[in-house]
Amino acid sequence: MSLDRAQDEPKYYFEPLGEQHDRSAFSCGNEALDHYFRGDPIRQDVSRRVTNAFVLTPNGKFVAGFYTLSPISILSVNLPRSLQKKLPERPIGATLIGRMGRDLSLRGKGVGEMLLMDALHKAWQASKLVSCWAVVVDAKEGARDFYIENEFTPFATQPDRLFLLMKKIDLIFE
Amino acid sequence: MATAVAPMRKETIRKARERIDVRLRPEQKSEIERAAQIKGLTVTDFIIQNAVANARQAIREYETWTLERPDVEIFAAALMEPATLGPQLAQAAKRYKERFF
Repeated sequence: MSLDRAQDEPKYYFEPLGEQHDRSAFSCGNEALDHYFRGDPIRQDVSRRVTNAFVLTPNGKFVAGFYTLSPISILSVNLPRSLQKKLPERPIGATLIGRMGRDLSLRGKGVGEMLLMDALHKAWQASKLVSCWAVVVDAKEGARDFYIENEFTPFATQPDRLFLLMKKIDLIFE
Repeated sequence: MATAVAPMRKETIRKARERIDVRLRPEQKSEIERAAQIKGLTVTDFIIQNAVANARQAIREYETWTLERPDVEIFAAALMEPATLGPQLAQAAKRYKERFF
């Protein structure tokens, strides 16, 4: 597969999204996601510090995939008495994978898995500085199964919202 | 008091230059007009106040996930379980580290 470090294969690496990346050539097949990444929205979100964006690239130009990370708060309300001591009744911090997409030309190459793992790794590194309970995601169409395969847990009332606890991510990177 | 209010109003008028054209059903329009009358607001002020309040709430909800039962129980249950790594995630991690570490 083309992401392996085989001979003649480009070596892919992650870096923050920058002007050098060819965003206009990117297509993941989801119109809304393509619009977000190819147009102004992602650049505005990054420049306003609403989100950070990272890309997977073999050469600093071509974008194999991207994802965004931003902070989010989780507020537990109406806690049953049995849980009142276990969960704080004020918001706790989590890292949101807001958007994630890989270029259609690399479908089936395991790019999604690499994007997710890199997002988890960065969230884990950040959690060593600013406390973070979980990585959460609002799964876009068709992506829910991918997150469940990777051990995210869906919520009951909003099944497209899933979480993976930081203590589990600790096991991966510690 | 009047002097404090006057500049604010002026400010509002100065800034309110944008337009949104909205098509709606006659019964929706008459309901809005009636509600605005009850609240003692012009239709424009009524629509703006409500739309802005709803927009702010939507943004807040996007930035804060509020968990109620049973979601809060699902989250708490996961927190109390000992953390273990299943085969899929462990394999994915291995593949990732081989390539990028």
